[in-house]
Amino acid sequence: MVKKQLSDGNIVEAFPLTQAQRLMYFVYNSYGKNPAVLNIGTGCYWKGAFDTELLKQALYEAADRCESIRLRFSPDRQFGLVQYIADEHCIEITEHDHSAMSEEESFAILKGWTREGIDFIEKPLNTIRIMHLPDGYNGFYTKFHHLAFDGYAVKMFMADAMAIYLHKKIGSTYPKPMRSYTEAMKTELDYLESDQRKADRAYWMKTFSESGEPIFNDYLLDNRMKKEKESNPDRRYVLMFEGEHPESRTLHFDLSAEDSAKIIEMCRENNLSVPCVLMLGLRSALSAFNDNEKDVSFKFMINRRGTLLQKKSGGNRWHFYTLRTIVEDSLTFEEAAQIVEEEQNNVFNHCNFDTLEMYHIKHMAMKMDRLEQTYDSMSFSYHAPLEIPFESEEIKATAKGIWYNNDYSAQNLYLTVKHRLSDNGLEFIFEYRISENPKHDLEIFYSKLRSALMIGAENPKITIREILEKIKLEEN
Amino acid sequence: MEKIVDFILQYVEMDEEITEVSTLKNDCGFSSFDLTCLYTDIFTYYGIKPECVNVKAIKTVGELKAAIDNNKTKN
Repeated sequence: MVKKQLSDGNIVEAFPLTQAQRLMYFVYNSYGKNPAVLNIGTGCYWKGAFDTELLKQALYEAADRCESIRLRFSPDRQFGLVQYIADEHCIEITEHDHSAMSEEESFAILKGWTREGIDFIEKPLNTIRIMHLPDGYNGFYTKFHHLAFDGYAVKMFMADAMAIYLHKKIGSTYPKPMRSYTEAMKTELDYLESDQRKADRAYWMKTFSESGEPIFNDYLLDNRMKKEKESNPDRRYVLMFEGEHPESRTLHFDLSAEDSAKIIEMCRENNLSVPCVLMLGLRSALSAFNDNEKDVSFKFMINRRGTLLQKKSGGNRWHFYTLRTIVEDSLTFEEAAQIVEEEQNNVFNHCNFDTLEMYHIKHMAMKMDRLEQTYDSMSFSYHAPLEIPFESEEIKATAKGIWYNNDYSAQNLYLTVKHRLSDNGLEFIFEYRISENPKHDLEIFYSKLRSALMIGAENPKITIREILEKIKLEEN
Repeated sequence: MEKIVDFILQYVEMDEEITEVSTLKNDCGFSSFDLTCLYTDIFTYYGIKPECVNVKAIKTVGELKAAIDNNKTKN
C-alpha cells in the first residue's frame, strides 16, 4: 500500500495493479489502441411485470454492496498506474425509454454508449441505466470498466441486483453479502511475495523446457502456418498480433436448447466437464482445419473464481494460459475429453502466476524473439451459467442477457461460449478483427466445431479419427 | 467432518445441510476450478501429498473425508 496524492490534493491509500489488471492494461496499451477496448457493455431484460422504482432502489443497493464499483485509478511514477477505493460510487441511475423505437435503432444507441471511451483517471468508471426497450422488454444496461470488472463480476452484480429487486417486490430471500474487493486484491498482491509463486514459476519453466515445441493451428483456410513453412520449413509459430487494427465484429451462433441439453446431459452421464468438452469441440475444429493435427494449442481464459471471496468481490481476475493437448486419433471422444480436463487442471494448479511472465518464460524456452510470435491462433472462454433470479418461470422464459460488443478487440479471434438466460442453450460468440476478414472461414469453422460436439454427444465412445473423418466430409 | 464442511463453505453458499452423501459437483455446485482449489487447500492443511490421492474418484463429501482420513499426516 502507498499513500497517494491525487490531482485534487486529496491523499488516498493506493495499491499497485494486480497481475490480472496489469495484463489487461498491457494488452490494451500494446494491441488495443482504443479506450473502448476496456468497456464491458451488457444488458439484462425481460418481458412482463416490471417496477421501475423498485429496480432503481435495488440497483443502488447492489452498487452500495459492491466495493469494486468504487474502484478508481491514478497515474503513478513508481507503478505506472495505481488503484484506490473512493468513498462513494457516484453512480446516478437514469431511465431511458426506447419503447417507441425499432429494435435496430435502440440497439445502435446502446452499442454507441458501449463504444464511448471511459476517462478512467481519478474518475468514476461505471454506468447503470434502466431501460424500456421495444417489444415490451424492460430491464437495465450496465457499462463497466474492464480494470474494475470482468465478465464474471458483471454477472455476479446483475444476479445480486435482481435478487434484491425480487426481495423488495415479492419478498423472496435477501441475498447473502458480497465480499471485500480490497481483501481479495491484497491476497493477489501477497501472492507476488509467496513461495507458491516461486513454485509456479518453477513449474512453468520445467513445463516449457521439457514439453517440446508446439505448433500453430490456424482458423483461416488460407493457412498462415503453411505459408510460413514455405520460407521456413522448420518454423512452428507465426507472427500474429497487430496493434494497428483493433476494429472488430462478432459472429453469433445459437445452439438449440435441445442440442445444448444433449451435450450437457452427456457430460453429466459420463462425469465430463462441460467446458472441457467444448474445448474438445474447438480443438477438433482446429485439428480439422490443419490436416488433422494432433498437437493443438489455444489460449483459454481462467476467471480464477474459486472461494466465495474470489467469487463475490468483483474486480478483474482473468488470466489467460495456453491449453495444449496432444490427442492421438485412436482415442475416444470421452478419453480425449479427459485428456483436455487433465491438462486444464494442471494449468489451474498454477494459474495465479502472471500470464505475461509465463509467456515470457515460454518465449525464452522456444527461442522466440518477439511477444507477437505465437503458437496460439485464438482464445477461448466459457461462462458457466450463473443463476439470475426472475419473478416467475414465465418471465424467465423471455429473459435475455445481451453483451454489446464495443467493436474493438485486443485479440485477433476470441470465442466466448455462454448459456442463454431463457433456456440454458449455448451461444457461441466469435469476436474477430475485421482486418483478417475471417467471417466466411469462421462459419465453416463453427460448423465443424458444432458437428464434432454433436457427434461426441451422441456417442462419446466414437474415436477422434472417426469424428475428424465425418467433419472433413462437410464442405469447406 | 465439521472441518471439511468449513472448507466447503468457503467455496459455496448452501442452505441445505451438507452430509457425507452430498455430491461435490451436483449437490454443492463445485466447478472443476473450485475442486482444484478445494483439494489444494485441504491437502495443504492436512499435509497430504496430492499424488497420493486419486481425486478423480472422489464424488461425494464422504469420499473426500475417507481420502483425508487415509492420507493425512497432520491435524
